[in-house]
Amino acid sequence: MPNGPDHIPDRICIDEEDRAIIKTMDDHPEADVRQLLSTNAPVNRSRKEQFLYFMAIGVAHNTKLPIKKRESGGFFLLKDLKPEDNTLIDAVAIWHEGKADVLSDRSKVLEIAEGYAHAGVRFVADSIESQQPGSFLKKIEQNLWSIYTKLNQESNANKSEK
Amino acid sequence: MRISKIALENYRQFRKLAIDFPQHMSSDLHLFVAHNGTAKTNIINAINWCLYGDEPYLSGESQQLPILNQQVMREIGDTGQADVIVEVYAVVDKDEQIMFERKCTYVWNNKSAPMRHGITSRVLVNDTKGNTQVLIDDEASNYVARSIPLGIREFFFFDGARLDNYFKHATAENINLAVLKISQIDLLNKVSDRLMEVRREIEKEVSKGNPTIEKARKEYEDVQNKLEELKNRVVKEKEQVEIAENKIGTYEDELKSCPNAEELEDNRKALKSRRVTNQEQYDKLMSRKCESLFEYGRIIPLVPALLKTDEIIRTKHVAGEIPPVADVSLLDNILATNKCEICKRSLDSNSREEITKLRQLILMSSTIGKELMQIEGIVTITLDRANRFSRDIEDISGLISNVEKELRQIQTNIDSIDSQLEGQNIERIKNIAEERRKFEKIRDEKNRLIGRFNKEIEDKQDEVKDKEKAWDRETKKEQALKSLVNERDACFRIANLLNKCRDTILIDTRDKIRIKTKEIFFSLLWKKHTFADVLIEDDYRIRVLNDLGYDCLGSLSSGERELLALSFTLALHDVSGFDSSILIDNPVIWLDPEHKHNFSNALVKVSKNKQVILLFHTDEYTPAISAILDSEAATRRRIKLTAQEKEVVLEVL
Repeated sequence: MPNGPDHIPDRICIDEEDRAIIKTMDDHPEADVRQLLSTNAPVNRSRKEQFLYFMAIGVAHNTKLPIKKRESGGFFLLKDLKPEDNTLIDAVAIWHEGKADVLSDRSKVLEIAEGYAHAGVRFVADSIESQQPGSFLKKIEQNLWSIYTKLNQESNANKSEK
Repeated sequence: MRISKIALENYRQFRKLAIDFPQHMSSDLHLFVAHNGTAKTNIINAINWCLYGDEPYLSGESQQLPILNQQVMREIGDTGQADVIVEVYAVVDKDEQIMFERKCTYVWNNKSAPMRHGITSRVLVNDTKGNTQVLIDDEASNYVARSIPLGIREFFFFDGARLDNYFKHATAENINLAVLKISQIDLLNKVSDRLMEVRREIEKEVSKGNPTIEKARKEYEDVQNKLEELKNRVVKEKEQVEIAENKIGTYEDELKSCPNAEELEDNRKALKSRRVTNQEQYDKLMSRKCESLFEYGRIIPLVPALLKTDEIIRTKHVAGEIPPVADVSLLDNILATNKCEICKRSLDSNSREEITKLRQLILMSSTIGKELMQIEGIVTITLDRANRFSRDIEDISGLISNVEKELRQIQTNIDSIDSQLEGQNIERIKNIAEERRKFEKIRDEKNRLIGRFNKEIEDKQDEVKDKEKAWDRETKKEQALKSLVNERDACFRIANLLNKCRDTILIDTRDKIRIKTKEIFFSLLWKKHTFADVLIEDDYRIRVLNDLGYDCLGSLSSGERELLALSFTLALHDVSGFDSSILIDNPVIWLDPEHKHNFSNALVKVSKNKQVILLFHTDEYTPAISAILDSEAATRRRIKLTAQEKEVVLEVL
């Protein structure tokens, strides 16, 4: 059931512990990491962009983690989300639930997105720590190619089944 | 004339050294072998300094040093005086002994640079009757100028390392000059000049007392003087051109073994600038790629979610749930009236609850339908965007790869330049190149001036003829002066005759030189069938015709070129009657192994009839060369520096 206007959250939250992790990415000694994720100049990623990226990484690993302690101030305001951002969040919720009914519960949709982003933050952090210096971007590219190739193979298999 | 001994005292690296040149039974071949920097070329410089007072083959390093031996300055102390003496002993016609000597005193105080205090030159001539004639300074210089003229020294001091310049510098004019001087044809010129002087004297007499004639004579003389002035300026400018050419040749020799530092530095600078540009481009592309990876990183993993959403939207389209069509006004009316509008019954509590649930379900379905409608387009666009991942990333990666490749190439080129310049005194090379440019500029300017003067000379010559005719007309009016006029005309006719005679001799001489050059060239040549003829043009340009009749001078190998130059020199000596030794520095340095071998054999042949002194660099004096020359050589010596590297000593091989 959709919540009333009073219950709709106005911001996206992250886990309290994630804040410190994301902060290390802002000022990371590896240029690759900063170039991809830093909110500092000259990259100037927004919190919203970071969140959507972490969410996608969580989805890539098919892992959603429940947030243990929500950061009180929030990560960014929902008003910053553009239709194309909301579409990605909605799609994740639909995919997670397997049906579109979830869209009627905005809190649930956001809770799903936050759960995947929470997992994504941890995966990215692990990936940064485990890479050799200078190879972070290469690994990111490699992973993307691997997902892309797999999707293409699945798509071709589906076509041939039909 | 053959050199029998050279004595050097305090001359550059030579503290005190006498070099004898005894004649061998069968040949007159003398060999010196030396490493770089052991004053080998300074032996030729010493001879030049003794005879002419200059050192044309001085290396860049030696140019910075005083002519006075450094060791002697150290031995004498902070203040002192020492003489530099070079003596060249020569034998003419097997009997007449000549000693050429140049002496220069140097004085230094309190470690100051040595200052030259007086320079003297002497020539001692012992004739066959035992009389000794001593000639000093100007007389000595005149004797040298008569016996081995400065202008033609390149026809007996032969630099193998400067062969490429040989035909370039041996222009018609200096070959003509050489022929004139060494064959003493210039005597005719001197007589002709004297006759013209006598003619002018007579002309002065003729014009005395008659203002009209005097005026015409003066006008003629003025124009004639201007013409002479122009001719003298041309001669002076040509001398300057020759000096510049020699300097350019010297610098080119020095630069031959050095990399083109200026060009390389410019290239390196350009490469570094390109590297900066490419690096900036690389950084931009990497930044673009990073942006793309971030963008696609937010989309690609979500493709399954987007596909799922897309599938649901399509299903709902098929089911007619999109766009949502639910109208809850009927249910609202039933709930408001508490009566079913279809069966007209009143609602019990169960029915009311069911209708309320149904209403909420319809409303929810409608909300989801609307939401899905809103995102439908964006899902499609995002999936399309995801499909462009491969192309976009491959494109940008391709661009990055190209820039990386170019950056690597630039770095390789920079490294290559660095290695070429490593250990080189770049400043010195640049200075030499700058000096060469300076002299090239001077030469070009002088040549332009010469061209302008030549044009003016042509005009002036016409003017001289006009003035001469005018003056002649005036003079002929004076019958009383007839005999003087006849004398004057006779002088003119004889001078003309002498000039014609000189020209005929020159033509004849040139032809003899051609025949002799060809004869010697073909007798020494190892590939005789390749060439058909050697020609010497009117302007002394040498041409070598191949068996098909084409001029192939430009395509001669270094060995063949050197052989041709040697043949020409020998022919010049032979035809002119001028007999001197031949000194060749670095005789086979630029030749390939086969030509080294052949040319060495040719030198042995030449040494049967002429003194040949060869100065080899250690590297060019290979075992193969040694095998050819050693048994024929009258003397073989190694030039070495003492342990302190300040004094030259000779070691007999």
